[in-house]
Amino acid sequence: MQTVLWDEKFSGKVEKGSFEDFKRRAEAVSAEVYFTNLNDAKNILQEIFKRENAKNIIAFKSDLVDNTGVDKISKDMNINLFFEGGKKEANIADIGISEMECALAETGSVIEWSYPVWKRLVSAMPNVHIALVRSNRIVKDYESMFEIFKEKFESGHISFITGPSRTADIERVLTIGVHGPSKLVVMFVEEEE
Amino acid sequence: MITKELKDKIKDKLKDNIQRKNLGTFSEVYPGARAKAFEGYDIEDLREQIANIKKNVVKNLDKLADQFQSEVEKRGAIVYRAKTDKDVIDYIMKLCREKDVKLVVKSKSMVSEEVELNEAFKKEGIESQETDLGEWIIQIAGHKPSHMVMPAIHLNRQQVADYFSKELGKDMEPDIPFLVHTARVQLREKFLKADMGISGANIAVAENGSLFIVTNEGNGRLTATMPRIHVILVGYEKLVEKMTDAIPILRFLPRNATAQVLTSYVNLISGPSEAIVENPDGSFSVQKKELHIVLVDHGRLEMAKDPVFKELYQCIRCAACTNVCPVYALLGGHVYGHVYSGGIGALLNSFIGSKNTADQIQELCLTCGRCTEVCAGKINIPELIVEMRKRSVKKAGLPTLPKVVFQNIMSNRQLFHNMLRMASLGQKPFKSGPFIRNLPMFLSGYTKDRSLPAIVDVPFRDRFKGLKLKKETKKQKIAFFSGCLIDFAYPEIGEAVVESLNCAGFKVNFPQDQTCCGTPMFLMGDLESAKKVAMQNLDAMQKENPDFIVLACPTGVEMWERYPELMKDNQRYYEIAVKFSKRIKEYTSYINELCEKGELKLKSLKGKGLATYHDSCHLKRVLGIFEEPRSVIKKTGLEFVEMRHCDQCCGMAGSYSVKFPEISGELADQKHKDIMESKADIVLAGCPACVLQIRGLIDKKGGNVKVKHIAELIKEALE
Repeated sequence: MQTVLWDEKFSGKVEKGSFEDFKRRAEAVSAEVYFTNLNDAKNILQEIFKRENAKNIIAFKSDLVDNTGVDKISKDMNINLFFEGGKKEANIADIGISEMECALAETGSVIEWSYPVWKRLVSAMPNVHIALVRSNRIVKDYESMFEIFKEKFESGHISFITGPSRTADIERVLTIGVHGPSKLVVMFVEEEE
Repeated sequence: MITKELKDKIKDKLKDNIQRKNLGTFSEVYPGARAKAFEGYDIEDLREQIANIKKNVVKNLDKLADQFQSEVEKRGAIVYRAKTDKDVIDYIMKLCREKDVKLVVKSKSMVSEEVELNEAFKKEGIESQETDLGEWIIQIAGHKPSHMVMPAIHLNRQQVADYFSKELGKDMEPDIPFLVHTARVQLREKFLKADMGISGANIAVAENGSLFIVTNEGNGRLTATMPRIHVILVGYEKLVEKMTDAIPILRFLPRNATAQVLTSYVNLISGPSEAIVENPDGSFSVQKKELHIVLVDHGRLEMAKDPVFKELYQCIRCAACTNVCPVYALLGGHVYGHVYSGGIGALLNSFIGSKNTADQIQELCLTCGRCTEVCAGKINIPELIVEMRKRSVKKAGLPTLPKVVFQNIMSNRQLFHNMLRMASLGQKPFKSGPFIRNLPMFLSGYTKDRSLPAIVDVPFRDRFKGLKLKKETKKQKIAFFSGCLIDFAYPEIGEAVVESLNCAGFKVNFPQDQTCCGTPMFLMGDLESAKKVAMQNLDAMQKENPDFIVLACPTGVEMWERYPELMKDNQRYYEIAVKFSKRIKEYTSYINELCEKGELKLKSLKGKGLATYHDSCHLKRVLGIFEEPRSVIKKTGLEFVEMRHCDQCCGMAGSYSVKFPEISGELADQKHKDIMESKADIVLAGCPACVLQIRGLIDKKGGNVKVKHIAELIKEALE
């Protein structure tokens, strides 16, 4: 099945946003942002797995996720990696890894189309979510984003994810990490030549 | 009438130091944070877009609701249209019975608060779990939300820790990250087991049946994802026609609500996605989710048909209006009766849910207009409040005292003015210089926080004749309309107005037949009495036929601008009203204009002290005049400093200070503090009622500060 959508939209027509705009917005809401190639992506992932002391990782399969070699890294580090499962696997996972459809520079959000329930569990349940985005998929603003929706979104579930989960419900004190991830890592990965 | 119950509640809330601290901090931080979040965006343009989108919706409501329903059904979800709160509850309970639902997880839904869904679940023996942290806290505490977006803002960490301890049966430290983590752990268990998720929605798109859910905590995503059944409760006012209509709302809602560029999560749901369905033996399968959308009326369709109150469809429930409301900042949301709080709450509650409290809580509105300035949908909340007062008067009549005063005394100029003259004698025992400092017995509340001005022995109308005015050099004639306060309490302001305009070369007259402008009656909803005095004033002006009518009182200007509308059923007076409404000049802006044109020259008052300026609510937010008075102050050469919260209501607000002396007293305290901190020697205002309030509170609370109307300053600077 096609796992990441809207390929044809990104071949030229869509108005692209800048990485700098995205980064500024996303970091303002405590997201961790990288722009990297496949090789370095492997190192970054390894570092994160180590830093988070990960035992269990859940991931949603896509070409980009495969190309980062997450399978091998996990094996080398003796981490359990699940590409499918149910609530149980999702609940014990320390990290979730999935490829996003695109990113939105205006708000510093990553955009996930997720009809499959597993894809939603991967980004919603673990304490850390690593969102991979192909580097040419930064959309400028809502208008360009909604142009894509207009043509490509018939039904299902789309999430705009902007930084980690947060609350200010007690005394208006901002606290990161309530029901969703407390860390959001966004990695823009340049495709191989 | 304001009941004792409400008065007691107000007193209680004013003593609730925890809530006041939380709300006080928030209302300090909010305006700046909001402005920062909107950097680079044209706020006015976005507001205009949202207002237009929603106006279009209310115009085509039936059609769009039908289209929404058929698009949702096309995608395989079920739509139920609920007329009443009972319909919502019956539908959900029936569904729970059919599908063997034992545990429900809920993310935030104001509709569910409206219909008291949790109480219904309790009766049915089904466990329902609020998962939004704030909602969970108030669920445990047994409270109603005190704010639409921040439901538990009235509590502090210690109270939350105590509620958690009680609920979980173990001691909880009042440490916020720890409490938040506890919520994650506790509620995760519920998410894993829940059979049904219930959420609200922020936008419902007719053209493709999509719903937007805007959240921060991530509970919305889990509510939509984990259980096999998802029920979305959505009111008709959330409909929009097209997907792109969501854009300005998404740009505005988070910025206006919590000063965020965007919330952590926006979920766009269109038809059912996949869900995990677990079997008793622990195995599971992936199936299509069961998605129900309950489109809720509960008074909204009646609201849409109302020619005036359909404007409430422009509300996107961001609660920015309550974030800036000075009364809300003091009292919090619980005094407003039902689920929606603040001025907008008073209005919404009168259509949605219990109507019996709406009549008195609308009285809590100062009509200061701060809410309207920030409203995402450009709703004129104070004007709708006045409209509601009018209707309740029409229905139930005025309370006895105002009725007698308006209809038997104030509508009769001679009687009214004679009574004021008599009152000037009657007040003698309480008078101390120009002030009344202490009133006896039940009237003492009026003078607790500020002194009242004494009614003068010789009103302006009598003093006018004795003014020595220069021969005019201009052809145009000006008539001065003083209003009661200048006439009977501050004649010196009237003298300053007349002399300064005369100095600019005008012949200035004071038509003696003028009377009360009608504002008190209009604001209390007594249109008949307002019309009567308006006609007397129009007659008085018609005799003189001046080129301009100058007022040094912003509410008076507003009232004169309303005369055409007020007189629309009376052709003769309507024409006069239209003619004069074009000749109205507000004093501070007009005097600034005359100075700028070089028609009035001022001498320098440099070195005569440090001045600050208080923005009258109506002068700034209704008439849009705030630069001109500052500009004219600077022209006098006085040193100028802005006080903090310069445009916050001083607490006077017409008869408000009489109806709610405690609230008014708190606002007066704040104003006094800001004035003292500014270190100014002179406080200036463009409104005699604000002058009354501020002079009275300086007299009562101390401070070596002179309080003046701009006209008095100008008089000092006349050559």
